[in-house]
Amino acid sequence: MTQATHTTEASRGPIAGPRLNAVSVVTLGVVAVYLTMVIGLVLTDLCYTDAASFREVVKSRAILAAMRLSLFSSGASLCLIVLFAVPAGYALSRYQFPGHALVDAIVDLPIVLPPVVVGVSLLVFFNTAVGRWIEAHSLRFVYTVQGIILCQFVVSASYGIRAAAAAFDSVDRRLEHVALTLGCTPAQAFRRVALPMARNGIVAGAIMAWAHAFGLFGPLMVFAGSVRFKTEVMATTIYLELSIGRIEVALAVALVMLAMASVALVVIHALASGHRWWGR
Amino acid sequence: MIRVHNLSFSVGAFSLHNVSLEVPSGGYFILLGPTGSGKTLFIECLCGLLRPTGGRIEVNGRDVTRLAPRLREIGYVPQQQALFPHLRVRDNIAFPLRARRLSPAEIAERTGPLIGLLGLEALLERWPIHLSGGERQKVALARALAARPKLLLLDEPVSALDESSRERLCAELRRIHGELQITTLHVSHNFEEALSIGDRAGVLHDGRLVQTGPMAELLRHPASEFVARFFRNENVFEAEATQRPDGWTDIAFHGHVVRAPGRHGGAVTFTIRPERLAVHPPGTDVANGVQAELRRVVDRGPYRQLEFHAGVAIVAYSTADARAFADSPGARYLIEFPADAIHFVPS
Amino acid sequence: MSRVHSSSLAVCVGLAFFLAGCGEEKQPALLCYVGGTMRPALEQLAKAYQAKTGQRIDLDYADSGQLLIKIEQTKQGDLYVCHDPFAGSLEKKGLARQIWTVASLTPTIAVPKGNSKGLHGLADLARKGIRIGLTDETYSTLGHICPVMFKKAGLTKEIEANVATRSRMGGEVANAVAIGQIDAAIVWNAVIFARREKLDAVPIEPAYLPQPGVDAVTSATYGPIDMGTVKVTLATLVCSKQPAAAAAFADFVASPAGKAAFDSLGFSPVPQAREGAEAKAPEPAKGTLYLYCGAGIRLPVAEAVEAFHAQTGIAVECDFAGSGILISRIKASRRGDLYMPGDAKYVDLAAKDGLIASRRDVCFFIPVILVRKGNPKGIRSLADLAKPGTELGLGDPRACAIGEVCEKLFEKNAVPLDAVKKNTAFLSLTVNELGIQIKTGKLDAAIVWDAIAAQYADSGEILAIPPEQTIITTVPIAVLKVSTQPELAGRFADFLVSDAGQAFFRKHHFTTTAPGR
Repeated sequence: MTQATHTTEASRGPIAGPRLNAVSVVTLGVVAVYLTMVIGLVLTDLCYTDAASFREVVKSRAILAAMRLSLFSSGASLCLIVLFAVPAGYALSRYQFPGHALVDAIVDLPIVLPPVVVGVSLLVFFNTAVGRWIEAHSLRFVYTVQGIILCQFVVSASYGIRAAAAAFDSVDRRLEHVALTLGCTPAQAFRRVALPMARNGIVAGAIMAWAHAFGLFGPLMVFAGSVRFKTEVMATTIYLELSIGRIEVALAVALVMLAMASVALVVIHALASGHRWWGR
Repeated sequence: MIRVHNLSFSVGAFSLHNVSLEVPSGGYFILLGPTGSGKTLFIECLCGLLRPTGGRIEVNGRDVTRLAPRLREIGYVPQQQALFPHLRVRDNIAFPLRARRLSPAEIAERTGPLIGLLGLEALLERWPIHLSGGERQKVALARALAARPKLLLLDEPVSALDESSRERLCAELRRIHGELQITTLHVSHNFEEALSIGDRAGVLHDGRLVQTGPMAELLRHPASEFVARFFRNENVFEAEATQRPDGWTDIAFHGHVVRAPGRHGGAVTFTIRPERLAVHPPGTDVANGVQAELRRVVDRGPYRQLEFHAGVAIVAYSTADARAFADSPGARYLIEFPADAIHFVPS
Repeated sequence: MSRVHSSSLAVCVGLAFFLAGCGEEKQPALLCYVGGTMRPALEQLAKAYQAKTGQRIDLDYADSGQLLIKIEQTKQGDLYVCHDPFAGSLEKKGLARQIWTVASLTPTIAVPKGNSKGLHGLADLARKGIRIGLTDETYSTLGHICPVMFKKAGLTKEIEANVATRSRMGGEVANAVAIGQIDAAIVWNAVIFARREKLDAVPIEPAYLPQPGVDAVTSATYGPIDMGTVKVTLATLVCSKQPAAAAAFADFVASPAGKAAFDSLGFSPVPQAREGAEAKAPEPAKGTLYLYCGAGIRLPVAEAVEAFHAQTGIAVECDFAGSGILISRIKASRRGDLYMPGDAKYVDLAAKDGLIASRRDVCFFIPVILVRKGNPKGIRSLADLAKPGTELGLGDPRACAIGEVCEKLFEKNAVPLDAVKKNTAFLSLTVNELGIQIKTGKLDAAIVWDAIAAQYADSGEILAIPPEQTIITTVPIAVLKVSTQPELAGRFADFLVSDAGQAFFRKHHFTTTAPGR
């Protein structure tokens, strides 16, 4: 049956043989090693910083403003990314056109570029005639919050699009065809069949994109600036605190970022996958 | 009713060539053909999922050739059913009605009888992957019928089932068809299904429709060697025909001569169904007897397949016990070719 | 996705842009770009200034180089605070309106608090087993200065052997010391001060610190760097839309209150000879003159200034730079009293712009060929400089007097200019640098003034140019029209021309009588 990939409780176990075998031990062991690394680093940071730094972070109006801006800008970027990624991923997955491979490569480009390059490129772009025209006739982007959102979007959208394309790839085209014969327009087939089935993949991509946007700072320093209360995000705060040697404060901010990110990820998960199909 | 006129389609290695057929309202047509003959292509053209390069399709007098799938009033049950895995059975069945934005009340009203007809009450809350093959087929059927289409297309509905499930589902299809009287086109590669359900059938070969007609006719009077062999008739003989003055024809093949009514002359090809051949001990006085040597007996359950050799291979079926032929390989028999069973295959 | 989700998505996006757009300017704040090290000082000053005047200052921090890019590209912003040599770059690109010097930075050794390894200077950094962090030699100012210091101490090899890491910015190596990864780092004193809870500052032996004026270097990236004084400067930007407000803030930062802030945060005071804005009027206090002086005549002029001050009580503040650059400063600031370029021609130019009130001739520059010690390429004349394979150093004709004279020399003597161009390995902004390059063996030959050559007599060989081939330049001193104290200025000019003044020039091997006279 090739309708959709599915797993039942039974198929979650190892393919064959006893539970504890060479493969399961090694693979689970690798997971354990990685977890240890990550937790170890977090603990190191926790131990290096001190209560005074945390208090300073929590009390500082500037840092609180940076927190709000980080959440707001990355949230807005996330909305934009999803709005782009879903249709773009669908097109890349479903439609064959000449130059498809080239388009794929270009979509992946922003991931390969160092983020700072994106920032400098945006800076230079808005200095060109076209860029200046855009700023004159719509929003200003350089040194503004919109600029932050734009930067985050340009750098992170790629992840979202790729994930969406992969998610739609995994949806059998025949299901949409059947939907057409059952009375759906292509748009309805997309909305009622392809989208719900691709949702998990899209959400995973969105999470990755959001996390990327949340932690971004290189291009922001160049393109959006780092003005307190205006364009400073938490990632920038960390860098600036490090630049004057306040390592404990920087780490305290980083740990707060970690905590915020964890909460946000849980919330996104809950919002997005409220609907569990096939009874899993 | 559906009328297809000269439908052609071509992409890469797959093609249909000028396929024409007609199914009257309430009729049940079986489209047969081996894998790769273009059956699924044909169905997808009818649905509107593929655009034909030529020809016309009419459903109940309406030309639907250029219409989008959803406007053709066709119900389609694909091979492997393609049930929506993210919806329960209940929602799968209701899908076409939700797409047409019917209210929940109307949906319940329309799907209720259908669910009853197919006996799906117990399955409504289940997820598609938890259903058996036969259950899935019925759900797919219910889904296709929910919007009351004018034409029902079934792509190999029973091919993936085991013997008994197949029989049962075929019986169900007959019953449902009887109840709803909906024009149905059933595609299959297995002619035994066709025998149990349909009235008319057609055989598709390399994208061409080589013969249509009632099942009996296809069986007994195949229009080509291909059709004959498709219906598992291995007795296809090349012969030389000579017309007789009394309106019969002498047919000479491999040193044997048999006689059949009708005027034929020159090189001919004829077939005779294995089950029509009568096997007698040698020396029996029959018309159209051919001396042959028994080479092999294969027990096929309900009948025995007897393979003779008489300068050419001849296959006969017999319901007699295998022991009757147990004497010896190489035993000689007389095979009777009943004159009315001889069928000339048009060239 | 359900309808609820998609519509809430749309709402969020709309809200996002709406809110973002709403954050547009309500009240014009000044945008001040600040290089990292100066941030704490500027934060303090901006706060104080806002409390005092209500004017909001937005501080944008980044790497000094990145800030330059941003200014160039966006053409937005009002002020730029950085340390050398970025102000120079800013000027070169024509982005600076006015520049104030507000503090300076001194290279210092950072050690962990307590100085457990007992490091007391550069000499100790050469000890075996000490792990040092430095800043990148190509991409940071300090990175250019350290090799000079090591060379002076004669400890280059030993110290380089101890270098465990190099980073782009001082802050990073300082952090490494603070965390305990390395034993010491050489960074700015202000950088150490910011981390004073974790670090101690160990001064570098004064003998090894670069000398102002003498130790200058031209880097490909930044142009000339005077390593003896790394100034912290505040510039108002040409692209500023509020120049008056920006200048007012700059004045505040350069005021004694501002300087006190820098002092309290670990910066060094403004270097002596450059107190106040280079382009700002000297204190109205009586008795201080402002002299724009070509770098080539720094030494005799500095001494003459001292003597003049001792004699008359009148102080003369000197701004030493390439003659050409000085004109643009005069034009930009419209302040100052005296101008003494390395060539009368510049005074002529300035006169055309209506800047000159009066002039006197002080001394003469005679070009000579300074060749590498041993003269391995066997150079005997101007023509030999065109021989292929000669590594030649010349002055940049756009920036200093010697440069232009060289061009004329080659023309006058029919030396093929493209051959010369091919040989030109180094184009200098000041004539002093050429001497250094010969001394350090980087060039085969250079054309410099006789006085400069005399300074390097033991590091190279001097070839005179025959009188019929040579071009003699007069060094004048001019009183500027924009001077607010022309009388006092005139008195200094007189002093320079007098016997006493001329003695200083002769002492430094400058020709004070026109040859042939």
